[in-house]
Amino acid sequence: MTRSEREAIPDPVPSGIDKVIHEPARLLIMAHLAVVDSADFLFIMNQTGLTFGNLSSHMSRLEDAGYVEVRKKFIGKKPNTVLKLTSEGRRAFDDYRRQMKQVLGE
Amino acid sequence: MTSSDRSQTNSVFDLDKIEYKVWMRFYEDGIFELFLGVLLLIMGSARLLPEGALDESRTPFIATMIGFQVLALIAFFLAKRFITYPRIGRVKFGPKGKQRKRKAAVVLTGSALMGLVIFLLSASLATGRLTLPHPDIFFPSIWAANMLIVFGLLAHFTGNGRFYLAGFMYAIPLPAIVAFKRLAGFDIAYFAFFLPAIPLLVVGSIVMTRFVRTYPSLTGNLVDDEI
Repeated sequence: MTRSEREAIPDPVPSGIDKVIHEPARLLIMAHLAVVDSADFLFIMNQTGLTFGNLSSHMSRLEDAGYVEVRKKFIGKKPNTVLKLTSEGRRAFDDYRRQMKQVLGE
Repeated sequence: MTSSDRSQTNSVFDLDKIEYKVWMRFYEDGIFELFLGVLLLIMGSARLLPEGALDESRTPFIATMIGFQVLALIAFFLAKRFITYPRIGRVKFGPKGKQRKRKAAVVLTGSALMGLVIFLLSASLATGRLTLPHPDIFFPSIWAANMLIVFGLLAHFTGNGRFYLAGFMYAIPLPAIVAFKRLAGFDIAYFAFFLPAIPLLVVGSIVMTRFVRTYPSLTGNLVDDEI
């Protein structure tokens, strides 16, 4: 396939759709964080079925985008990582849902 | 996009379904059923006291019963702390979860007030300030109605259907004692509370075993500072 042929293929992600959220694993993480106030790393790992490394890398991506706030604290002597959607993340997720519903014609 | 892709995407957008799944995760440990079963056992243990033991002074007896119930409550929170949280993690619920908790708290407060009213009524009966035609039928009926209503509302508000079973098991003992005494002429007080506790303890044990198998404790397997 030549370069011009490749460029002619339309982008599978419609324009305006947030590609950070559009990735299935991150979408799942965002959806779970959207329905709670905050949750720890273990809880999100169990709910989404993602492995530790996978979740960790996706969380870094979401944190870099400013969508998720990561707070480290201690419960007794054990460290605990708490994840929470930022207001920007919540707004981005709502926008994403609205746009996808339009795309899906709902 | 295939129909399965579409339904998968739609399920991600159905936040109500996700929120409900998150909420119900905390009933998957069976601890509630075990706790309610143990409370019934504690109530039943009062019936094992020799006849006349309660006549002289009720204060030590009531204090002992409350003490056992407090111990059961402490065991409940310890089980959550050492069995549930290391396996599924912790979550602070959003507005819907908080609303469910508030409704459950209102129901339990109402039930406690009802208990207080019944206690005051029975005290008035004992001192002769109040008379009822059939107190032996009146109080068990009130007890059964209270249990069915309270646990029914809890099941409705929390979405946990196993509270219906708990309500039924809590409603049975007192009316059963009266019914057997009046109709068959024998006293089942010794096991009237123990028998309904068994289904709750069995269900709780099965659910907890399944929970422990499904969710191994991960905190020991991962690097501490990463969780």
